[in-house]
Amino acid sequence: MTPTFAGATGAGYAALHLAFSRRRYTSAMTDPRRLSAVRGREHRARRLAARALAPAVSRVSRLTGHAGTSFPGYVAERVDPGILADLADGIQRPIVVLGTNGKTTTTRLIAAMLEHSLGVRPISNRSGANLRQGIVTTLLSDARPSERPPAVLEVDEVAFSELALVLRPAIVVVMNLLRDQLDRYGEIDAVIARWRHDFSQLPTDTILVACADDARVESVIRDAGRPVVRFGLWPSAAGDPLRGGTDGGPIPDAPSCPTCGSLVAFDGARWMGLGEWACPGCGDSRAMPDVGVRIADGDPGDDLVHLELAMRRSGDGLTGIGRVTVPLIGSAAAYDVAAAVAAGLAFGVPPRDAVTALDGTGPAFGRLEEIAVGDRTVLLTLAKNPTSVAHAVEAAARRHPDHVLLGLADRAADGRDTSWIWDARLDALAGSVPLTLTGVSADDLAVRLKYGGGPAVRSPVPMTVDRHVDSALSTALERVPPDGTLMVVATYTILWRLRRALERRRLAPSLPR
Amino acid sequence: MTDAPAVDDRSIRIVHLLPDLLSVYGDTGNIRALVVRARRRGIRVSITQLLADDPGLPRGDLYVIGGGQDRDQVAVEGVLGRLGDELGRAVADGAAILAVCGGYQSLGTEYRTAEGRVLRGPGVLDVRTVGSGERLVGPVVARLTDTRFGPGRLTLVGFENHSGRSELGSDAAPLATVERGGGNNGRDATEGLLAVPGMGGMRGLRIGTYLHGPVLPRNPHLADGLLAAALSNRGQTTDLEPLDDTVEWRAHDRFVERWRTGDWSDRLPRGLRKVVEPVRRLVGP
Repeated sequence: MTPTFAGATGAGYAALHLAFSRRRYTSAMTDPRRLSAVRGREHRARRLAARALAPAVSRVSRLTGHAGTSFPGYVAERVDPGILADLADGIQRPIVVLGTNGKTTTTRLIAAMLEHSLGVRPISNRSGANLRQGIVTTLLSDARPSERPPAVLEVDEVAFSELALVLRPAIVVVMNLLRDQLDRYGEIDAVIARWRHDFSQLPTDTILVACADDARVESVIRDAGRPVVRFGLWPSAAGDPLRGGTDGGPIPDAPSCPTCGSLVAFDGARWMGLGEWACPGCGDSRAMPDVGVRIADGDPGDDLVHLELAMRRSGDGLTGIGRVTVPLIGSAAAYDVAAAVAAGLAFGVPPRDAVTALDGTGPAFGRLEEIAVGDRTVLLTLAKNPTSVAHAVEAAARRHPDHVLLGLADRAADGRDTSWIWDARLDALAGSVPLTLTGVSADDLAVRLKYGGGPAVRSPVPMTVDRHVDSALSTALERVPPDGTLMVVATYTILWRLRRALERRRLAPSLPR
Repeated sequence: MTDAPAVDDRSIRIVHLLPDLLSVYGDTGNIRALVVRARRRGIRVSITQLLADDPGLPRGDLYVIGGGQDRDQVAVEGVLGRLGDELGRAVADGAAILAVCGGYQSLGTEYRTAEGRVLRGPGVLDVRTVGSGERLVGPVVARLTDTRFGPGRLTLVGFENHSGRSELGSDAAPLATVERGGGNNGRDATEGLLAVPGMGGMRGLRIGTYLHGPVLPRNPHLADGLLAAALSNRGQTTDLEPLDDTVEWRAHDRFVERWRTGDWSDRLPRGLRKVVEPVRRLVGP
């Protein structure tokens, strides 16, 4: 290991030297049009260097205990600012997945569907690294299965602005726009304004696959002048197609009507701020989706979601096209699967093939991923906003964990503003289950839980605070009885550390990078 | 910590202003902190919400207003145009008020948006705000200017996220002095607004602040100051029995410790920091 480490370190330093040596390259990186000014012999050298160095940098990054999903791309772009455009030329025009919730799972579902129907494994950022550097890393390192392979990339809401022009997506899947990490973006409205601009810059033949149930998404795509395929709920005669998803409480940050701006109302089913919305002001309402989904009644004892998919044949009616059973828990999975089928439709995958391909597809990193640790089960869930916590609450209600490990950190990837925990139903998660709190902001979680869920004064649940993630995992595991379940609900960087801790103990398979 | 409320015949009325328009950023946590801290002491609390369509202002001893998006602030201006004077009278008569971020800006004398649009405020708080293109976002550690708050702790912690730059009027004093973060305007190291009109004790206390987090749960001294002000408006004794705030102060102190002196990379020479910062941001997690 030592010689490898020395070699890798040397290569890393060389890369850093190249990366920071030339100023004009940095300006060219942010503006592809200025690249021609710096082309030439040096540029060719940099192209080669960037590609040659990537594996070494990736190695250094991983040896030093990091994920290695972003840094290699960062260095490569510093060395060769034109690398993203070059790499984008080497793949088919990609399918890009956008939205605040469900990107990673949906990306994974679409990738599985394409692999099934094309017989080629698409390039995809399966680890969820969705900023510019993460995309470059993915395109650099993901193995090339063929000439110009297909690609499915999840992209951060804001990073999309600078990536839309370079990637020239064939399809953009717009999941939703729920409250997420407001500190990075300012405000949801700012993202809407930004997307309106970005969508007008897309190639005119880019197909938008959009969630009809999100009024904010509707307001962005309606005037985009691009072909649209919509997905949404398929209400059953019995009413609510989303079991357990509607808590009847106030809608967290209800969206405004795309036409007149008044707050929309939900007559029928809704899940968080998504559903069959209608505007009391101007009468505008949800468009009929092209792909519909509802939760079918399954065996209540199992841990699978049974979904029924439908397609719009003609007029306003939806006709069933088949059933999908996925080991994902909760109503959010319904939207993820519907989005994947709609994306398949836009890509030219026959809907019935899409349904067959999706049946049984597993969860993505941290999206209710299940890991066996001896005779105990660890269930990993990403929590990043009130919506994802609602998802976790649903899962907990079905899985009855014996212990819950809650993690909160405030690094950039977690979202630096942690105040959303006060809008999330964390107290419902705590309930009667003993808790361990961890992460750099564990003390803030303790305050949040002390003040409970409502105005009533409640006894606190038994809880332990341990800011150190690795030791918190060990103590939490010790408190789970044999055959019991530990549920982990944590922000991104903590989940990564836990996942790696389990990998080190050879308990979890390595993640595809 | 005991949950059994002591026998007490005191009661206060809290009015949550416009939760339907101003309720992102977890500011409902402020109401929870007030209610829980009052009830643990056996003080009865009634909570009323003023929604955007409601005709009149409910009577209260303590008014609380949170933050929202710029778009919502236009709607808020409409409501305050209707009810702002009434609120001003209630506060002048001795009710207390806590205004956070968007609410702080809206209750001032004027808010000029970045696009140049002027929103007139009711002037309940003597502050005027001008929008700017650049947001002040990040953790804030500040020092309270008034020593009457709390058990010997003067630090104030929270998370700010605002594009407005606020200037205090001549009737107002800053709530705190910024040690880390932007505060009112990123220029004069002031954070928030504090007015104690001198009606006896904390009666008529007005607090404006940019701090989310939400601000009260991690700053129990500020929460208790507001409770004392609400009690004195009812002519009730303002002695507040101490609570076990170990959890709250641990979170508070941890925040101060992490952010007061800045991140370690802030202490590097500038040239080195420019190299280290992007790398540090990217290698994680």
